[in-house]
Amino acid sequence: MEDVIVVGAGVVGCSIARSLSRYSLSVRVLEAGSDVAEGATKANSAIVHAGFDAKPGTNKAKFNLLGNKMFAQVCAELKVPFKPNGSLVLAFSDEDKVELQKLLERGRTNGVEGLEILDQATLRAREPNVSDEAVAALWAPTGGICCPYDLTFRTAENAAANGVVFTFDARVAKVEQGPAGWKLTTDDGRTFEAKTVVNAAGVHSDELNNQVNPVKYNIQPRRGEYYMLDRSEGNAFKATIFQVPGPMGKGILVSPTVDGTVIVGPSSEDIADKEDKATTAEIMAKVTRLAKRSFPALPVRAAIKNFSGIRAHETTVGDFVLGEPEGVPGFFNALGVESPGLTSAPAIGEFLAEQVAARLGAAKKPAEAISDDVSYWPKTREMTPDELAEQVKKDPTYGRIICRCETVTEGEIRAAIRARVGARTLDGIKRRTRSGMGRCQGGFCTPRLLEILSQELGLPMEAFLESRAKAPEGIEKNPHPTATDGNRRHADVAAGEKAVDVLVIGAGPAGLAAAVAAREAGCEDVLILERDDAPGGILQQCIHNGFGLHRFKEELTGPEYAHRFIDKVNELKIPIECRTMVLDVAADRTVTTISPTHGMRIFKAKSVVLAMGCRERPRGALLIPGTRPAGVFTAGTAQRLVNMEGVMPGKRVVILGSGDIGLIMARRMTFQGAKVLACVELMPYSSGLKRNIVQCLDDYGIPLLLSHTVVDIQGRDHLTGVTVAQVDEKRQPIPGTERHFDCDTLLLSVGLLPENELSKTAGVVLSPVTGGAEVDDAMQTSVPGVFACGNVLHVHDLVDYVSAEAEIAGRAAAAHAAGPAGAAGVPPAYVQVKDGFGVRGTVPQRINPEGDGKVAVSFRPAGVYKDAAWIVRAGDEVLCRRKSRILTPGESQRVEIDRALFKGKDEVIVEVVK
Amino acid sequence: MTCINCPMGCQLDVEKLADGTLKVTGNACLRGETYAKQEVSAPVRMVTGLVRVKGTRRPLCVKTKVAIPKGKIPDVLAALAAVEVEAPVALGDAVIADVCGTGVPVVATAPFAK
Repeated sequence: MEDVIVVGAGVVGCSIARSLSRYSLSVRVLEAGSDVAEGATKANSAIVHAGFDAKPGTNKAKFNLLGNKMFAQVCAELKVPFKPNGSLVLAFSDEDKVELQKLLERGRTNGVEGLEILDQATLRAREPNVSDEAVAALWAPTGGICCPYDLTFRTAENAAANGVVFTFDARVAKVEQGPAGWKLTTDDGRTFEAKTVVNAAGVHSDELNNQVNPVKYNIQPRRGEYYMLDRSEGNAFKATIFQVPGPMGKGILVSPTVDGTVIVGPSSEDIADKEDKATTAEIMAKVTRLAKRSFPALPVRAAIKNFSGIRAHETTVGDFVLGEPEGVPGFFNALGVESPGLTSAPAIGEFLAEQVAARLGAAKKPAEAISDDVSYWPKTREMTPDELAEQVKKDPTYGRIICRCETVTEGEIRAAIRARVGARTLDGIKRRTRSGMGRCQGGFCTPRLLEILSQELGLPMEAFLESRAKAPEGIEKNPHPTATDGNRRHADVAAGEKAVDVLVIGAGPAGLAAAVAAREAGCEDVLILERDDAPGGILQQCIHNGFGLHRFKEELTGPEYAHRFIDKVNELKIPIECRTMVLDVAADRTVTTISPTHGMRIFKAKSVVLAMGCRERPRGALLIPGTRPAGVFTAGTAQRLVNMEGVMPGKRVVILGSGDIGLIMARRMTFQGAKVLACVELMPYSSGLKRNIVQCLDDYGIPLLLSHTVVDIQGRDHLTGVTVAQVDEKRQPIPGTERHFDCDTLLLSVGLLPENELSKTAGVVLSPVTGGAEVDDAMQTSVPGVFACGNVLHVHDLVDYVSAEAEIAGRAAAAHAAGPAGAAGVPPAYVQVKDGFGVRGTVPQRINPEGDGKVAVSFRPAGVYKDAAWIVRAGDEVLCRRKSRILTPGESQRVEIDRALFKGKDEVIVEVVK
Repeated sequence: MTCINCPMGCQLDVEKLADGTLKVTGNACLRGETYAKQEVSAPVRMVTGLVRVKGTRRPLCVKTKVAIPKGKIPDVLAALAAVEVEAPVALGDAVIADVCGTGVPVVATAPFAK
């Protein structure tokens, strides 16, 4: 028997629990999900509202204002981010301007401070990306942004530190009066008793209330769809940009987030199912259309994920229902808490805790008996280099980066699992640490997170793939894993900067070949840095054959091809430092690195070779509608799980995208016992090799559906199926052509993107076409002494050509390092290389015409051209012509041209001709 | 059948003539003819796969040293599934000396440290 049971561990339930923990009361929180923040808390706009919208006199108005005033203080106590960035409500017409005036007055009545109406000029000066159509705006300086899950998680941690007990996976089905208070029964038959109950059950709060209170309420689930843009767009706006609100809510906003990304949404639709968190193509399109009113340049291509949240909209009173209903002593409601619920939560918590304490006659604990602990752990991405260096000395697990996109280390992930209310799922880790929340959406970190979860919680990796959000049964909390790797050795920290001639970033095929070439060109001081546990890069997981036909005239598997170079590196005694992450490359070639064994180190390199490879486009980049269940992987992530980790993602598989990785995975999954139902391709042709279509699909009777795409993803916890439809010439789904596949796994092979985050820190100029650096024919980027090769430069079809390109880079890097130090030299009079008709992404982008030998030029055809030719020409002079029976985007073209031919030219054009 | 030699993907037809020789049509080049005859008379594939390693979850990657008859693929996969090796393994070590009577060994394609 507890004094209080709080039903629901969203931001409201947790805030109430934390406030209750200030009293001498025993408190338990019962939560239907496996974690805190599983309902509306995990999917909302993350806005701390100023409070000008709500009707004066309502609970919404009152608690919004109270909460807003508390927010900065609460966030400081909980050590969570809060940014008072202010809000703007845009007016697009004279009618809207009238509405702004009404909002201003309403806000003043509610007690909102600092409201003013800005004219168009002031608005444009403050927010240059706002639409020209916006003629005025209401400015609310007290608006802000926060991180709802971090807030909720730390609120729960602090509550737990003060004695609150959290019980998850406990969905309360029945509330009844018991002999000494209340009896709660869960849907699986467990019972809990308490003197008082606080109903903070979100969309289900009406169901609890209606069992005990003669006054009935009705929660209408009202769904809002969102998408998130990459942090590359994070500076689009300073303030949160609203539009004049309508009857269904505050309308579509565009806002920076505290994490540096941009949120766009929400829509507002009443739906039937309180748990249906799907997104839909129609609504996503509508969100974009409406958001473009505020932000005409909205870069939808920068989307990293789409999701939806469900508001608990109360229909009978349309307001928050707070407190003890008449005639139901000991039962307290926090019902119908929709927007501005997040803002109001701290105030609701205080208010209800006071009421409950009064009912039970409980006294406040003395101040010294209250813990301010929130299980804080330092966040790597917020540290200065010196702080991180110190942190790694204390805890070497902070030297191992698990999530590259968001810079999250193993130390943070273990801390998130070991916290009082610790993570037990992939989603739990994601929300607490941001690992997997960045632009690759877990492509890289997922296998590592599964391994850490498995070590910490004592279950096999597969157990955590059943659901992203639901914790597996049988978790043995903190079995104190023994370190199985070199992780826990104390960091051996070298002071100062270390000089190196050629520093190669990445030990994949490009980095290995570049290092060997640099060494063979006479450079004695070559060092390779690699973030993974072993060299070989992506080839480690490409266990199929087909590599090396050009280079070695024999057919090797990926690991065999890699080992040809690893052996050479070892023979030449070139050091490779694994588990070393490069955090920053400066234009002067100062390279900052971190590793669990060496801590933070700074290298001063004469030449740097960028060979970081590429990453896969995730689901979020495609904005595929549907739910967000477990079982959706990029093909490369699945390939790593199967081929390196020994983990099978599923048994019935659909593959979207017919690039070579997708095709190869179709065969691999078949070989490992899965049934591959179809390979679905948006384009009317496959970008994969014919050989792979025959030997990976046809051999096993797997259908290839060209001009088709996935239009819906189904499944609540785990994927249960996908809907596939045919598309028209504009790649739009054709209604009526939908067909359903029951499957537990969807693999995405929808494109590769060069991983140029470090190149950007060095100030390297990138090509918008290839996504990689612009280079000369020695693979030198726009930054002197910085070279690029392999898939970080442009995505290759054949590793043989990666090696050849990397060797050019390696030799040039060695030559640069051997050159006179500090001599800037006169840049050569480059010949510029341009893409012409039918040609995309020619590399190199400039050629030095001085010297002898040959220059390799490669590009990707922009379409399918039969019985065509391609030429390199300067004006009307054709330098080189290659005939081809067929050119396709799937097969890049490459030719070596005598350098002498470029002499005296300013510009050459590469183009497809008949 | 579809020719695999280049992105053209010619649709090949193979006809058995009265004298027992094979006639290939639909091909645009000689490589197509050679491929079609091989595919019809004795199709072969290299099989790459995974075998279990004692005491760890992580698998060892392997291949048939040369291509094996296509029809034997299911047997070879079953044979791989039945194998468990002990680390350390060197690249090139035979995991199965003669897989399914093909006379072809299955070899490790990466080293596996203890």
